[in-house]
Amino acid sequence: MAKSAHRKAHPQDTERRIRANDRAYNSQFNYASNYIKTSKYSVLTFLPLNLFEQFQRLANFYFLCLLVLQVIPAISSLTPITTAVPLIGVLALTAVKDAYDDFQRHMSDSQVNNRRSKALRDGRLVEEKWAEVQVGDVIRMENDQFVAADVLLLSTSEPNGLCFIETAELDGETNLKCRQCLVETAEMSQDDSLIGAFNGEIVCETPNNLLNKFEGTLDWKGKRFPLDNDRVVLRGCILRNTHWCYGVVIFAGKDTKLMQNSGKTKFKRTSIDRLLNFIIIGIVFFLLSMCLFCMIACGIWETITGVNFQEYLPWDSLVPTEPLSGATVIAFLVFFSYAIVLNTVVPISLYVSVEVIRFAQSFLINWDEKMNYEKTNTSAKARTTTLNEELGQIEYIFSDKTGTLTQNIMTFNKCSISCKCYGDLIDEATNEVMEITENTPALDFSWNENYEPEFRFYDSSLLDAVRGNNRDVHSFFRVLALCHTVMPEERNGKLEYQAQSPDEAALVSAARNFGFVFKERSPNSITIEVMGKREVYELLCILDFNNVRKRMSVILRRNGKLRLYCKGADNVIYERLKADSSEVKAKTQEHLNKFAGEGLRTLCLAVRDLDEVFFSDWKHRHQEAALAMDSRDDKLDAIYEEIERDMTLIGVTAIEDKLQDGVPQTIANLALAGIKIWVLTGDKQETAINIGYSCQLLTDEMADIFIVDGHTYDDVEAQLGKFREAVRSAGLGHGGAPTAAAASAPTSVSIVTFRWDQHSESEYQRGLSVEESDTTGGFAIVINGHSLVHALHPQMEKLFLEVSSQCKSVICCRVTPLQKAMVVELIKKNKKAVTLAIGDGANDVSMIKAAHIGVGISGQEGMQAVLASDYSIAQFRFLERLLLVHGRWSYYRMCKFLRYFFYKNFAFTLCHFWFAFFCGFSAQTVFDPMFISVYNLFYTSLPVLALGIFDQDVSDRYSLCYPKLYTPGHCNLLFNKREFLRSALHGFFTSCVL
Amino acid sequence: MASSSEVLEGTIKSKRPSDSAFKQQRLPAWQPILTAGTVLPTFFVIGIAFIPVGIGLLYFSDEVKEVTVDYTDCKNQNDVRCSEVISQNKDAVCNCTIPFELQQDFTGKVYMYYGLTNFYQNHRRYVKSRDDNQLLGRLDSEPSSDCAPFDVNDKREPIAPCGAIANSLFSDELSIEFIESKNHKVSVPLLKTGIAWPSDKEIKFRNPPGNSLSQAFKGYAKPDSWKKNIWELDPNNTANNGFQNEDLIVWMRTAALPTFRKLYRRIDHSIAGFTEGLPKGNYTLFVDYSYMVTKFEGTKRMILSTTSLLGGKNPFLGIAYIVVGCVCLLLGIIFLFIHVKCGKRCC
Repeated sequence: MAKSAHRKAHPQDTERRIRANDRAYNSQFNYASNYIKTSKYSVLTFLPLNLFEQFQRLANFYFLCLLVLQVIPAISSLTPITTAVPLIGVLALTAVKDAYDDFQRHMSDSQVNNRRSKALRDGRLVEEKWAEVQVGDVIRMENDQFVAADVLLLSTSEPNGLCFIETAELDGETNLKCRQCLVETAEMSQDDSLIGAFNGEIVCETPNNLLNKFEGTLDWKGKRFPLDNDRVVLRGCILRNTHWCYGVVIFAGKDTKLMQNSGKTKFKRTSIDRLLNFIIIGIVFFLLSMCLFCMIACGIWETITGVNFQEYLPWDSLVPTEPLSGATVIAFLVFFSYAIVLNTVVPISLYVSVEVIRFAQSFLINWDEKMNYEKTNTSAKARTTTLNEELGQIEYIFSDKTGTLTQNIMTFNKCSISCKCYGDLIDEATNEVMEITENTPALDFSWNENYEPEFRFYDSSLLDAVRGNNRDVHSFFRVLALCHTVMPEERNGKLEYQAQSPDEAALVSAARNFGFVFKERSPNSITIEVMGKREVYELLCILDFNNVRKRMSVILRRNGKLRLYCKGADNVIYERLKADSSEVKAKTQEHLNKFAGEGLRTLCLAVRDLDEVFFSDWKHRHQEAALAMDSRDDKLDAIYEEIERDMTLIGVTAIEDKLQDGVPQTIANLALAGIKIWVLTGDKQETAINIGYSCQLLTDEMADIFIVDGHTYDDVEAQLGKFREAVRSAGLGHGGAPTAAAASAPTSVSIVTFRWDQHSESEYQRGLSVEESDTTGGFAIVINGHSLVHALHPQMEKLFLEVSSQCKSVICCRVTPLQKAMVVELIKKNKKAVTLAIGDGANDVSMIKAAHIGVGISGQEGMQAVLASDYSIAQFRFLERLLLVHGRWSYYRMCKFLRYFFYKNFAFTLCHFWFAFFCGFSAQTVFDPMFISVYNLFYTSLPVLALGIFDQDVSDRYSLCYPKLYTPGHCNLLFNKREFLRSALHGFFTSCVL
Repeated sequence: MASSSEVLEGTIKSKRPSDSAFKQQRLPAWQPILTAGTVLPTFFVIGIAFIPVGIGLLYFSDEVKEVTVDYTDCKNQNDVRCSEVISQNKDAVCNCTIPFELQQDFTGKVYMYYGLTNFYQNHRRYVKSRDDNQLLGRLDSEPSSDCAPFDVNDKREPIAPCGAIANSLFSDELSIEFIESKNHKVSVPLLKTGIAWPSDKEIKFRNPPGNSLSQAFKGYAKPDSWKKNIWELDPNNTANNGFQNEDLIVWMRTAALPTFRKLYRRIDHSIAGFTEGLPKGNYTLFVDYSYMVTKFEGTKRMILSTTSLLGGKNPFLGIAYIVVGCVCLLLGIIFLFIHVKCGKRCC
């Protein structure tokens, strides 16, 4: 019992131990109870805590300091009331808002905590409040109820221990997900006494926020069972289509994945924010130096003039009477007095105004009718309100392809089965491929009672082959019907599929229309109907799909025959095929290239017959790997690798992924606006290039398209080096700036970067002056994922950057989500440019989070990207309007606002400075004290706000027509230090005149 | 059923942004585009409009006649500077006379001012040193601490009016005499009322209640540097005493700059000989010198001035108008020249 020995030590550090139905045991670990508290204050603590929190904000603290200074009579140049009133006003308003929010939280907390759930106590079901539920308790959940905590499923009402949940509250996805309990525990059914006696011990990971990952084991009746995400139902899910289920609470309260996920998100700041902070520090120093100047001048004045003026204006009693020291003391006090009088020069209200403006701008974005996608009735949504003006400064766009550029509505378009290609419509007369148009008659599938009217396929030869009992074609469709993770659902008597990805749905529905209907899935079997005949397969194992493996397999047994069905990306499958039948492979490869050339997404299908002995051995090791607590994924991958080899190629599917409306125009327009667009896609090179052409990223006018596909570091370096030379020689030919650039050999890193900065600037100028330069072509680079690994190597980064920044468009294909983020980081770090990432799927989340601005497409592929994004739009083409119209306006307005704001504050405050020369530097104010205090608050806030919200220099139509108008944002032309100084000097001058 | 479908429809509709000019950012706006066609006329119009206005202003300003007599260093009959006399003894009486001449008739209403330089009435501590509550007639045995050190005197009596401003009330007494001929001298009739802002006199300054002022101010001391009691400021007019004495009110309205002038008297035009204003000729200024300015290198002066439609003498506005108008005209002409010469070529 070595286990029990270290059980006493702190197991929480790395793992969590729970014994079901054993409160005494579980209580020793002090796990969080299911009581949740999201509220911040109680009645007693509200005032001190809230005030403390508010004074942590710089603006409030600054005002507080001012207030303290003003209370000292010797210093006070304004009555304290004038500061106190606005300060108290602001504090009170914020406090009321906070109190209201907190009250709401209290309400929702208590509502949640008081929800009822059924818990087992000593073998009997008891109604319990949610708050009373504890780790280790077994609870019963019922249909359409929220799950109270993260629970391990024990048994359900559905056959095979299945249960269905909706995770809308967790990740926003509304499709049903399926969870399944262990077969062993499922046997307990709803026998309360059996379940009440359940005493399994669960060892699992510590609380974390990964929604899709769970690792643990269950020790019960002397056996160990691996637990994964499939066995766990998370708090916040809603039980659907399941009458009841039982589960052991694993994480409760704040440990649940829902609560762990509700943490803070990384705060993004705009470059203008950073500049503002810098400027404000500068202004503070300016203020201090002004005060210092006044202080010295005051000292001098008091010694020269003030001393003699004592007849009518004696010094304060606390000031020494001796002239020099007296003057010093007075001067010292005057320093603070001036700090008060001149406080308006530090625009603390600026932050508030900026917030208000951004908020309003976000609403304008939300309200924009022209970014409303009618089909799905979704409008653009600014999810963060702090980044608007950065939309006007985007220099790089990183775009996902699938679902972003394309519609992500997949249609099964073509296939290649044993060297024969189906899907093209051959004109019988000319023997040429005919264009498929709206009017082309689609095949009639109505003979099949499960056909879908929307399904369109035009090549009748495939149907003939199916009907002609072509063996290859049949096994092709069997793979399609069997190898997937789609869930069937009976809705209104019609079979419907719930798929994780649209590819799968397209493939399964294609099989269905051709008469291979996927009917039913249970944890251990799959039922299909082939030409009206039922076939039941015993499901032995699912080898899941992930982005690294790029394939999925199922192992099925039917009539005693074991078979592995696999589908996956072509290169992955080809590596794992049997050595023979090279002819079929070559022919199919040809078809593959042809499909890819047409911009179709391809998948290879393969099967492998397995023998029982090998499988049981493998299954055993698989079990072991699945039980492993650490690096389980890696071990599983290795195990999968063992069985997924020596496969026989069955065929290739080609799915069409239609471009979204207006994508080419949008890309062309954005390119004209000086924005560089990089496409980062998981697709293969040919598909990527094809899509590149169809959306005008690549054009025929381009001088050259570089393809980097080297597998080793040296290969990639050589390729990139060659391309650099090519670019250079082309640059020499064109003359102009690159000549100078090429002349200076890159000797060190710093020179290299400097050189290209210069170049891009001159490019920008050229772009402005001559329209022609756009037509002179340019270069494009297409880089493969495996090359990208090397290209992103710290030593090659520079080279890669150098080449790619010379190219008009960059396409990275076969990239992993992590690489996407790395590419974004690379540009962010080295180019100091503002980047925007746009994507729609979970694989884009890392990229969206890495970029300055993340845009999510609220489309088909779930909500993860949207949840992680700063802006969400329904269609790629709205990006054009978002950037060129709203981004430009926001940037323009924000800059104009800032200039105006600094101008007015300088103009206002410096008057006091000038007046100091006339009033003996005594910090006497020119204006009424009330006016000074509320100058920013009332008198001048509305004009600047209105300017910041409504001002348009050109209408939206023109900013779309002339994308060049966007370019000032790239160089921070509208607001930088120089502009700031100009507006400050402007204010200086105005105050002088006043 | 119907209601639920309505609700459904409502939620669907609400998702779609409404088409209003405000939300779609189509609010009407006016954005001038500067072209030669709009700028040139603007320049000319401004130029042509501003120059006459400026000339008019200048004319009115020139209409105002003004004479200034600096009497800081005036000497008494013993040929000693009064400033020295009073710096030795604050309470000493020193009179001096200064002759001056009006070159032309001062027609219309004539006002008499005193002017001080280098006097920092705008100093923060000075400006602050008053008790507005007290000046409203609400006497309190403890004047506002703002008044310190002029809140109580050495005998711990509260001062009314307290504070540095009131304490430093201008105390010279000025009068003028018109020398019609060698032997015939007429003293110019001066009015002590009507020199303060009516609003000040009626609202901001009130006397404390009581049968007589001397009683009302019982228990309160006069400011240290004053020679007269608060209720004796104007011996001829009981209504012009106490806090409502107009000299005090004028003084209490502090000047913004260290060089300033304040209205001292009005010439009484109802007296024969002065109905049309002040005739030209020789005058004598009599000064009862008691106000100390030399210590801080200040000066004192007496100013006689008429007014015009636009107030006192101030040529600046007129000059500014004329300059702006001229510049606009000049620019207009230059731009017109450029436009005519090169305008067509570049387009």
